[in-house]
Amino acid sequence: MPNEGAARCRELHSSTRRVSFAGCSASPQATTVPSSPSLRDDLQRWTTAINRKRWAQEAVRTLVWLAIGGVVAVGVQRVPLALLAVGIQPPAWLLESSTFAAWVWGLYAATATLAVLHASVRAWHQRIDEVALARRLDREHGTEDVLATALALEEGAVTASPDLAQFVQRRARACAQRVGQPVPPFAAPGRALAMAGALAAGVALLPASAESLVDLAVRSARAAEHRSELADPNLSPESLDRLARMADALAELERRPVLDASAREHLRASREQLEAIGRDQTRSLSRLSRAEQPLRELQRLSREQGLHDPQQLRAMDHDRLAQALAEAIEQGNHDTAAALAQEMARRLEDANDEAMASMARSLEQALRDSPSPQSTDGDADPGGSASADERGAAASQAASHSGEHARSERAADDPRTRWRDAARGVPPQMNNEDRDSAREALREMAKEMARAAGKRSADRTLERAIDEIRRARSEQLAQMNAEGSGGREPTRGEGRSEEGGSGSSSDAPPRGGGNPVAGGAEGVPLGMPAGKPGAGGGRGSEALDPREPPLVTLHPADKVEATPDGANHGSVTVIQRFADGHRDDQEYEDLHHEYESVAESAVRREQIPLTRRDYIRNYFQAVRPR
Amino acid sequence: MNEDNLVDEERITEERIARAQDALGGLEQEIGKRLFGQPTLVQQAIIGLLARGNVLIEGPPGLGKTLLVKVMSEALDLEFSRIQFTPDLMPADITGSQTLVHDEEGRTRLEFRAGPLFANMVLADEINRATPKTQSALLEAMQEHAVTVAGARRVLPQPFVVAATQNPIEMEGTYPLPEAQLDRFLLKLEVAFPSLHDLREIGMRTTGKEDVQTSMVMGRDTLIELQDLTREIVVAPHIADLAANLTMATHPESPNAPEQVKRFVRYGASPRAMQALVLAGRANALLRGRAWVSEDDLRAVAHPVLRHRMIPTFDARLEGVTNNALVDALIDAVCAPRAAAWASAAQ
Repeated sequence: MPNEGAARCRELHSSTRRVSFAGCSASPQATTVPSSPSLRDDLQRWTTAINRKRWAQEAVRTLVWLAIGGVVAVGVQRVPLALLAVGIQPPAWLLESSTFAAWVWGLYAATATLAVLHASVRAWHQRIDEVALARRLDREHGTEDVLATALALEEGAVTASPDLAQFVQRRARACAQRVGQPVPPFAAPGRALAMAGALAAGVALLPASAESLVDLAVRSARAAEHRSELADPNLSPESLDRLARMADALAELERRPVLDASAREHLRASREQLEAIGRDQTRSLSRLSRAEQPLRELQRLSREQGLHDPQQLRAMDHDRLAQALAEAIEQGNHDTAAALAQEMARRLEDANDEAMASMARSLEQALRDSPSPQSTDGDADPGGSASADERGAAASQAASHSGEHARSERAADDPRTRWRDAARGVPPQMNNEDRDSAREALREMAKEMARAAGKRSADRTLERAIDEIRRARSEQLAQMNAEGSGGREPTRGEGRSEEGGSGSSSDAPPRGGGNPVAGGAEGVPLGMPAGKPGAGGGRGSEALDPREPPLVTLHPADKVEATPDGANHGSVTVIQRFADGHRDDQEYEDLHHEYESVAESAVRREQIPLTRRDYIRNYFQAVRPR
Repeated sequence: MNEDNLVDEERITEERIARAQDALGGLEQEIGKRLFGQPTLVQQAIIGLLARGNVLIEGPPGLGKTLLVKVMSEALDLEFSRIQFTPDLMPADITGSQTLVHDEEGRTRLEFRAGPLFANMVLADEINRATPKTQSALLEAMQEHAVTVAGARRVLPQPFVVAATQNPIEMEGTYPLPEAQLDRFLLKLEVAFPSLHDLREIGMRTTGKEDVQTSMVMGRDTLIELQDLTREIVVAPHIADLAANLTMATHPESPNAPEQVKRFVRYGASPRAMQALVLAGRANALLRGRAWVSEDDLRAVAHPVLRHRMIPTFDARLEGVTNNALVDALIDAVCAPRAAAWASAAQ
């Protein structure tokens, strides 16, 4: 910091050398040096000023970096939106907005803390004390350590004869007064400011992007507000009542003897979902799907191996077997009765005379103890699962007959009476050791009961339960589509028929053309009969508006379960079979319906852009069964 | 103490220093009249004188080592004696001895006959040619300014300075000075060969008919006063730190020792080197008209103070590493980081 004062100071010191020194005693400069209060005071004042300035510089530098970091953090937080804005689908983990933002801002907070600590340490290490300042001034002004020496004398760090000490101190003060304020000018944090400038320039050059980001932020906030408002529509009281009755029917099925354990488990799972809907309809759509899934699996099991456990049948003794057969006949559980009769026939093959006599006694006893057959309309169909046709037929039958005659005629027509009578005919054959006749009678009875079970069997109960579930779901989807097409978003308009069809709607004419997957049909509300898909189209980039919040989080209840024993593999097989041309595959239709309903539920609930919702719906429309 | 008194006191101090500067400048000039082209050597010799230290002057023959000491004693009006060290020189030859003398009445008695040491300035010429026993006779004189002869301690006249010379070339039949004795020399001065211009001047001025006479510059009392003033020169703590660091760094086991020192120095300097640095620094400051010691003073005297106090390893001799190079490395290693630290603190 060369200045005039420093030059004069150097001149003063050069005068102490050699030639001019002899005259220095009479020099007015030496005798008129103004007395400073204290060199230490001056140095302390300067030191304080320098250290303050240094702290200020560090603070400014840190603040600038923190501001830059904040802007960068905001930018990083918007990366998923920016990627969508340019048509790039970000990875799924980026879409978790809250998690990603927490990471970004957590990282920023940690970095900011480190930056503040670093600045503090740096400022602490760079602080200067009086001795250091004196040394610095000595070095800068060529005063050959006079200031540092005088400071040491003043502080008492070194002793000297009074005259020499005074001489040194006055020399030092003279130099110090000519030095002036040695506080360096404020040094702006060049790199930090340059970075801030570059950042600002970048932001200024991208006004459209900034505007878009703001727009995205607003939409994101709005979507977040709406997300909590979206819930599955409520089921009608009639649907709830039907589902409750189906839950009771499933519970009845669960109580059946000799039922396979896995079948019982499937029944329980489905029943619990139905009962849960009765308590809380928040996620009823997904619950319906979760209730339907085990029932379908149960149907498959029934077709493949039946619902009864052969081991349990074999483990029953003759008395229990006969008792169960009599009860099944009386309760109209024809398929159970058929299984029990078949088991009894099997036992007759290997039974000796004594065992046969025992079986005959047990069967006689059981049939004797059993009450008269109950009403067909009530008990034989405990879940109210009889079809309307059957109920109608029974009603008309009841109306056409009257009195005792009618009752006896109806009882004679009741197969349970017939089977009970047939069963009563078996023990005498056994007692007569007519093994073959008895076995044949039992098998014949089992076949007839199995045929009759086609209408009132567990399979029929399952089928009716599935129908009720689908009916309730269709009702909900229809409500959802009605809400969605109600004008909240103009880009939405397609529907989905429960019967598998869809088509165009005059209210939402197709726009554009091309890939039916991307475009899909539009306009038909759910549940309406429909024909072939629309001409496709969609709305191009407008339809796939990327500015909608893309944040998807599937609730566990919305996920289609894939059990490790191959259910998922089965689904793949069904899809592959459909792709191979088996277009009339009922399993595919069921599967499609299940996936579509789950997806619809998720689409409705989650923060998915509406145009993306169309995309998902269009996909299911495109792969719907023909 | 009012302002007038301060001004008066400062004026007196300035006069003291000014007088010292005049006197020392005159001495330098006066020596320079006889010894051409060796200003550094002259200054360092004066520093040794002011610091009341003994100096070892090393150089090839004919470069003016003896002349320097002789001229200096003449200019200072000091009693000068010259001892030509030879292998057969005995301690008593330099310290003196008791001699049996007869008085006028015929009685005999032992009388001490002072040796050549009893002078203000003793020139021990070619000191390395004497045996260690004789060399050791100088130890007490150099350190304590006294000799003990026949059990009696005899104080040498003040001021007392031993200026020894040695020839680094002719090493045959010499007895290198032991480290203990080397350490007692405040400075080791090296006489450089004069430049061509100085050589011509030497030829022109010293071969004429007229012999150049040396004038007395200051008296013995003045010299003692200057020696006292030298010891009053202020040494700030950071200067003492630097001196201590320099001394410590001469030891190869010191963490601050430069790599060259660790490799080429067998033994470092003793604490006497620290004293020598400060004393010589004070003398250098006074010689330059300052009442305080600066780092430049220490740097200026570091070579003559430290060069003979570091015992080099055999590797140093093999690789031709001189002690002067080691001192350069020391200064670079110790002074440069301090300067950098101050500079960084200043930014």
